[in-house]
Amino acid sequence: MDADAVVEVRGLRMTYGARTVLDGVDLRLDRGEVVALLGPNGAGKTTTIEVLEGFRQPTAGEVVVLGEDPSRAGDAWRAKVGVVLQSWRDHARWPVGQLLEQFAALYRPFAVAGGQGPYGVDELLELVGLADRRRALVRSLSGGQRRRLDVAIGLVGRPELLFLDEPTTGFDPVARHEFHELIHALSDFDDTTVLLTTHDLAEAEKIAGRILILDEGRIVANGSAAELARAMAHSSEVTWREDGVRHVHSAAEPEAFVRELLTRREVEVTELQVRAQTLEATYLAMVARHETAATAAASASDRRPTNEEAR
Amino acid sequence: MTIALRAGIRRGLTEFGISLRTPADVLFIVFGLVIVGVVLWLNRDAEAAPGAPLAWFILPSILTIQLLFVTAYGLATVIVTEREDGTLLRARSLPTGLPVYSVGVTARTLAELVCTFVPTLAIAAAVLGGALGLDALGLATVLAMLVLGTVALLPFGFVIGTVFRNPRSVGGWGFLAVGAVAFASGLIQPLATLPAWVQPIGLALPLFWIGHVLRGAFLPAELGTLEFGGGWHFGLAFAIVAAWAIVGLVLAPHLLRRIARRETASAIELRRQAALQRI
Repeated sequence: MDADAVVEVRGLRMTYGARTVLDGVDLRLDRGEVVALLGPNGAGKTTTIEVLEGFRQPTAGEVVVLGEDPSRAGDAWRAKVGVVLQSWRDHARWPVGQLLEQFAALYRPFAVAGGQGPYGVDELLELVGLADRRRALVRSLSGGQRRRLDVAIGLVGRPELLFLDEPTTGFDPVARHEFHELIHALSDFDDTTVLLTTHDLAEAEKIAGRILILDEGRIVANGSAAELARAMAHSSEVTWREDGVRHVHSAAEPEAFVRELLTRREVEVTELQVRAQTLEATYLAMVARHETAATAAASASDRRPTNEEAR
Repeated sequence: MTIALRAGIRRGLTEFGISLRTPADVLFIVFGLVIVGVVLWLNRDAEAAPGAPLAWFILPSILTIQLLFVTAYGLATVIVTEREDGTLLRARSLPTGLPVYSVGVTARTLAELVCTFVPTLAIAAAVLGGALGLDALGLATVLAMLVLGTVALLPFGFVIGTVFRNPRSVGGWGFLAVGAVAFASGLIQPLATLPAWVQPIGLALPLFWIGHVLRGAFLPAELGTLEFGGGWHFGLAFAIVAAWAIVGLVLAPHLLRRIARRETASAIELRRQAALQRI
């Protein structure tokens, strides 16, 4: 096993009776990486995360998380892993601050000598934007605030590895932006490794250095948003205004096209924009490609370069 | 381990403090105490035998039923509810979370017991004009049996709370079960007057023996003739309750670990969806 690997999974299979949920998943996370796990509902995202968290015993496969088998790891391992699951409803009657204090205390015995130990409650509430809700009861929080409390609980022990299952459901745009900043800070300054699932593709593109697409129990794509787009051989969209008329062109290699465009002496080009293939388009194409061969063929032919269009 | 123990006790007392600030919970305790007061008041002048008020018969039954109610029923309800809302899974996601959780619910239950027994004895003393029929040895016996009874019944609160899945069914059927067990254990009417097929059940359960020892402490020694078997059998009673305690203590941690292991977010989400659909 590689020393840098925080998570290493080989041949992970999960079956419930006759139903196969995970069918030979291989994945690897290195220290400090932020990786997004995407895929349609029922693709096995939550199951994968639950196996890595040690909440589920896989049917087959080799799973090593922070050097241990998660289903057997002890409390010291648990103290290094932060967990934010979907839809918590627990501890509704507790005041926010008191709940965090109680949980922080559980991490204190596991603090590494010379390390920082668990977060102070004030600092943590400030970090997730709940500073003014310290005395509030958990059940009085709005959906987005409750979710931020869940994130705070996941972070309280300063985990080396953080699992986030759809963390931003119910966030307003400001909270979402702050959450993204938080994840960036965690991976940049604390070297925290983050694995998150999301349905928000823009979010995945924004915060994840690497994206894994899971479909029907298999990883069908693995790479940065740009790499995935390239793998799908889709083109970027170039738009510009030429003598007052707007033009659109799709180019597989936009750099070459733009260079050529700007060297043309006879026209004046303004409002030039190059938009990379969106992750959404890549994602839809990838999932479609793996659904049936027929749909894959259809979706590929959809994306032929468009000609200019005047407005 | 001592850190987990301390964290668990603090957690339990916090939970209990929250409970004391929740009107519904307080009302529940107060309602129980009002019933105790009324029952004792109505029987304040009746005598079971010359010099032995009927209340000395009733009070041991009340204490035993309270013990059963708070430990087995109350604890089971808490666990089954907190399993559904994800508290148990949360405990699993934290270092030493499960031991802390278990100590926490235990501490909370003990606090509830104290807050039930102390007012009950105070009310009884007030209604009966201070005459509880207890000497120092009697009081020590009562306390010893209540402690041992708690140790015997608490694990079964865990077991019941982990075996059943639906909080609403534990709430309803559990209530009936408490009544049935109290009846079969001779706490409503003497065991000797129950149908012959019920008597062995009562004798096998710890509740009869807890009630037996408490009656022995409150009542004059010569009233042992009214007991099943015609006398006081303290040694046997303590042995049987202790046996139940050992069985429970062996069984409960094993069961709790097993269901916690099976508890996953997806399972909780499924139950949440099902609960939403029922509403």
